[in-house]
Amino acid sequence: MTVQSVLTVAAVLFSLGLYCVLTRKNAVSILMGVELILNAANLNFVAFSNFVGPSVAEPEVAGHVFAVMIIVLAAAEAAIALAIILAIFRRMGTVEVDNLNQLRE
Amino acid sequence: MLNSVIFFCVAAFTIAAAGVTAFSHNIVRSAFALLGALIGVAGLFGMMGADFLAVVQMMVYVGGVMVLVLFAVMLTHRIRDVNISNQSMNPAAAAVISAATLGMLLFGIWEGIPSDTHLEHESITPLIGENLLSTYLPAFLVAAILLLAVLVGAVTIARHRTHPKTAGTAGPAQEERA
Repeated sequence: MTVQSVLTVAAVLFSLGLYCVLTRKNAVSILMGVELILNAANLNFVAFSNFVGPSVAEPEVAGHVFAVMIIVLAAAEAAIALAIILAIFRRMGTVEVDNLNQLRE
Repeated sequence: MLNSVIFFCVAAFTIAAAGVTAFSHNIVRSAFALLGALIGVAGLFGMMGADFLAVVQMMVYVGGVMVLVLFAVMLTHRIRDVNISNQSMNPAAAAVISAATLGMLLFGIWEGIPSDTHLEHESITPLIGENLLSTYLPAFLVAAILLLAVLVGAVTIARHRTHPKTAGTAGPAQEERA
């Protein structure tokens, strides 16, 4: 298990998330793609944090703290985004982003 | 050796689940596949010695965000059109862009980083705790305030308001609630 293998998994996750964000019409699906991308970034942070640590006895912790902060931000983002999606569905009756092209009803 | 086999299995599971998330035509299947991908990432965290992150990932993502996503899926779709609810548009162009991005990333990863670096580590959970409450204390406090704001904001946005003026024109959801 080298740093490259973890980074490869993260790169594949990122690409799949990018594909999901680019192709989906449903707002909830786009949000799922964003979650995949954030998880790929977290994997990179942890891998590089372990990679640059000076020794096993004195490991580098910055990447782990960054990953914790990203998880907090991702949770906040998901809560707000899903609240907005619910409000939009109530008003417009759809969550297909193609149809959401007006600021008021 | 055993470690590599386990890593390969977890990585393959994660990528397969992420693939189903990205390609499935059924949004409920997509959501549950995302659950699998998040669990796989938690497993990878665990294998890299980041047990704290693995537990946080399980609690916050698998326990919290996924429930939110599933609720949103179920609340914004009628059961009968679940099967066509996850259409894709311009899949070819998006596939080209994603594949090009993946190619560049893989090139950078396999050309730019020494290959014999192993990642297994001791657990550093105590260090994370000390750093969060000393070096990174401002970020910790800002995150706490952010979470409070998000809590209030999400409830305010999602709250059910009655608009007598617009009740007749707001689409099919209005009648269903009544």
